[in-house]
Amino acid sequence: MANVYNWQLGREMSYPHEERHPDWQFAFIFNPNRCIGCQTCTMACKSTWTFSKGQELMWWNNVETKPYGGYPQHWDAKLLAMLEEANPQGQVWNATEKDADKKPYGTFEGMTIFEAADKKPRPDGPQQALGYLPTDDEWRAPNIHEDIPRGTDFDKDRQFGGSTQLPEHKVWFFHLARICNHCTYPGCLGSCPRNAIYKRPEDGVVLVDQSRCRGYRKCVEGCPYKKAMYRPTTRTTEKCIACFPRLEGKDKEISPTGAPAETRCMSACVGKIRLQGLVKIDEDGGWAEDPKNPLYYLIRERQIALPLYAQFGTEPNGFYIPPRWVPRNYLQQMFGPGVESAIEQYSCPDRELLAVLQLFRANRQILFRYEIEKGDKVGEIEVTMPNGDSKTQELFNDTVIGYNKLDEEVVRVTVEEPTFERPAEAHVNSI
Amino acid sequence: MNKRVDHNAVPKTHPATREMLPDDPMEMHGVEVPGDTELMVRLLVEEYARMGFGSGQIMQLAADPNYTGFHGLLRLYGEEELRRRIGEILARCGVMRVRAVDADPVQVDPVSEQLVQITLPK
Ligand code: SF4
Ligand code: SF4
Ligand code: SF4
Repeated sequence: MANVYNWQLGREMSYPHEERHPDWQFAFIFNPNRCIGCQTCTMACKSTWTFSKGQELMWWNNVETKPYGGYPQHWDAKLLAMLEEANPQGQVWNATEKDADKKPYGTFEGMTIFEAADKKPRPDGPQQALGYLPTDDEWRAPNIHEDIPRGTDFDKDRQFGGSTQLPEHKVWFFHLARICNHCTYPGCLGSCPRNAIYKRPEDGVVLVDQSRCRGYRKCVEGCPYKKAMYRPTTRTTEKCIACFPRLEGKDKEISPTGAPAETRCMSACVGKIRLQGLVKIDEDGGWAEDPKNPLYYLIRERQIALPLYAQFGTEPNGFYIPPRWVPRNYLQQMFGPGVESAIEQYSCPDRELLAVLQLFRANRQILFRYEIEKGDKVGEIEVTMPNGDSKTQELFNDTVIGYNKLDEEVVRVTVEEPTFERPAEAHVNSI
Repeated sequence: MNKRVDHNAVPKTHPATREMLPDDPMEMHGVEVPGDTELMVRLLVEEYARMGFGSGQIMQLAADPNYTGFHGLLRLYGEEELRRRIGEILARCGVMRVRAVDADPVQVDPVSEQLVQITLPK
């Protein structure tokens, strides 16, 4: 194994291949605070790429309801348990020493899937990454009966009977949308014995070479996010391709001048929870400083969007704004030690942050740069802070302008005066 | 004397109806992940208000059983109580409004956009 630097873990780690980096990296932010679980994204991907024979159980984009749901079922709980077993009590972060560039979340002191693989030798030889192969059953019911703890009310007859003990749960949940993270150190790529998986040098998109793949399914086992999927009719693995023709600016309908466009699942999002982009990678493999790139600003400058299960060690390029109402220990396990600060900032965004947040799903072209034109104050609203206290947020008539890769203006979004709905009785004889 | 075992005499219990034995490792135990419903409602409604949804739209979302999650809250609180809560929250936090304007598409050379006619071989 080689030694590579993983900025999300704040340290070097071992990986089956030498460190090499693309010029640009496909990356995205999802905001589960506002995902309504409509599955429009899921269908957008399905109807574009996975509608054929052998792809029936294949959902490159999926939205699962946490804490009980998952596609495949319990994918994260299973892997977390395996890592804990390999390194009992050791899967911890040390967030005391941070460095914005090299270790923004501190240092992960536990074991990644690559480091834990040696701990679990198997009869069929050494593994490159700790993982497991989900059964067919586990892929079978994406987001079905996940929203409330005991299935659906209208399904009473089919609820579990004896031999089970289900506690009464309080209703709480959030929707977690997921696609392939086009990881910097992909578990799928690292596990493939035939080197059939590669990262494109121009945009970091991770693809499976269908002519080299022989269907060993090592990648299905080695992807900690379970986003490499086996197709029985071709006996090869298929996975999210980041809609690369769009990244290449081939969709003239969206970008007549050939500038890169957002993928199908991103541009279809009804809840406007998604912001996708390409970030510039510098010589040493880190993100090149680019504070006016909306992704760089939100992920690196403000750190309000955090990587999903960074401790797995693949340096995923999907980032999430943690949902505010979820218990902190649950969120910290999922998004690492940056959760508290992210939620604090997101709860009462300052002027610039609020403006940049308006760029989510503002246009179908990828935004590479933003500018803000400042306006007058237009109002104040009351927001709930993480500790339950209320705080006053000021709103300004600011306009955020988004530019595409060719630096052409594509969209401008202006914050306007808010409206208030008051209960009717408050206005009776109000003179 | 008939020494054959009468299988019909063995009492059978369907797994769905047999008693729960808590110390049996083969039994299924549900585990609760504790969470706060009240905080969730408050923050979800605030979030929808940030997206520009008024009380009517939020109630519409809750009424639709396809949005199983939020619909579950309507079932939990009942329509009247949920409406009251939403009203209370929106009176405090207001509904945000934004105006988005797409730039005019850049005109490109029409020659490069000509369609190519594909003919099938005879
Ligand atoms: S999410 Fe999985 S399939 Fe996608 S690049 Fe990472 S390891 Fe590979
Ligand atoms: S990026 Fe494209 S291929 Fe990947 S999940 Fe989204 S729609 Fe599907
Ligand atoms: S389209 Fe957007 S809001 Fe709807 S489920 Fe997908 S991510 Fe969530």
